[in-house]
Amino acid sequence: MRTTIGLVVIGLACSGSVSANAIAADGPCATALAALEAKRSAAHERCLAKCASAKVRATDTSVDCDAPFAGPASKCLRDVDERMNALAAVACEEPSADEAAQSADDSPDDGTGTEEYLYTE
Amino acid sequence: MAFFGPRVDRYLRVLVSIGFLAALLLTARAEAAAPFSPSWFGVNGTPGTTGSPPGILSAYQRAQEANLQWVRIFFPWWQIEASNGVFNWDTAQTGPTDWCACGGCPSIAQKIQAARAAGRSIVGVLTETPTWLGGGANHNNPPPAGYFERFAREAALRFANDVAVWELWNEPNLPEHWSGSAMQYRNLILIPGRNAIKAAVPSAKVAAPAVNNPSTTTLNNFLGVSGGNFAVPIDIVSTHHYGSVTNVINQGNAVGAWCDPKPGCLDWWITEFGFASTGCCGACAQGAISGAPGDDLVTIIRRCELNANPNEWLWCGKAMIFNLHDRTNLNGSCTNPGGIGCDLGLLKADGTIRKKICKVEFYTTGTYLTPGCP
Repeated sequence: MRTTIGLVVIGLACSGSVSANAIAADGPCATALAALEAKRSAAHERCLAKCASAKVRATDTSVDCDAPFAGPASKCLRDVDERMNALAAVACEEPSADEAAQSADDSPDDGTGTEEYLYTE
Repeated sequence: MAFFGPRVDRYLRVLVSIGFLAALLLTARAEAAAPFSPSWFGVNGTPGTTGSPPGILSAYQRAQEANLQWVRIFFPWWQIEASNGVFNWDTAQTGPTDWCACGGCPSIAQKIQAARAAGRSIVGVLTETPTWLGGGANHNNPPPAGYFERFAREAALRFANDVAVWELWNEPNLPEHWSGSAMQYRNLILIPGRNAIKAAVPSAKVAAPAVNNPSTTTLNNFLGVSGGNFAVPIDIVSTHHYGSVTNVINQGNAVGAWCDPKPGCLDWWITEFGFASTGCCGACAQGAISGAPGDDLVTIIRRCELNANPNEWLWCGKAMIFNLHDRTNLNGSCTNPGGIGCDLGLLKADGTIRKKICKVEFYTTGTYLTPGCP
């Protein structure tokens, strides 16, 4: 089921449903989508793990984690898919000049800078 | 039916049997991965105080009663590999940096065994440079290249069936724990450590960078973020958060928002958070900074709960309370703890309980199992 969902995500992102300037599902788009699929899978695992963990609590013994999309994890799973779809759409669009400039903020520094910390243990 | 005559057929049967046995053994080994609890409740388990193995075991039993299914245990490199290439997993540890000043401390192997006996899943923290590698008095200096990966590989192989997650260093953004740069951390610890662990035990998960109260810039620097990915793929981004409840929540929101758009950020765990008790570290009055004892801890744990906030999936995969015990060394003694961390424990230095473990336990189990809780 999860694989199917992932394929749907990729399919949506790399089809005309994303935007007019979406590019084909190869090259950077495919690479980005493969990475997002791993992230989506991990996030789904986290939703289900939290459901299973809640079940351990005596107050939540009625939790049904075996039916994830009908149970308490459903919102979490849907939120993840929604978010991954949005990220996939962005990943498969041609970056604008502003976005390209903004992405430079993510580049690593040389490790020599100093920072202030809110609290030191 | 014998195609090749009875003798050859017998040999074939023996060979086939051996093959089956080998396949079974290989399968069994592949499936014998370390326990990995789905629970998001955890605690840092660096118990010392009495220093005896029974004392350690009872501390992990407290974690078991409180349903804190994960324990985070330090692997002090400088004590384990006190000389080049000799790994002393079974040697009793000493203070002060492992918090075992009171009567010594069990070996790593004993701690792991006790945690497993109590049914806990384990995060192992590989940290602190040996003296013979120039670690210095605080074991915080960067090691020469090549040595950390050997230590990481040896640890991963030795505890492949016990430790589910390996965390690479502890708070490298604080000078007392890492005197080098972020780039040195990436090149000497993060990349070689991750690669060595994955090569040795592919099923093991790797967490990093365990930075304390990080800004997003700190996370970018220590993980080498570029284009939403890291200098090397890791399973879990780990962070530590202290201060007021509001401060921890605000920091958590910031880390969640940082992680959200990055494909490389697959999971995020808070491997340390905690709140001091009121009063002092001498008399160690029970209580918390504000509210009833333990309310602060539960407030944070609840943030990791399913459907607890609008973007619950962005919030922590696990939350590990600091600490199981009060700290006892540094500026204090076994009976009169002092110094940083002397009042953060769910248990006092002598192993007796604080009220806040009862509050956590009631949240996680709906009842009280720990002796002494109401």
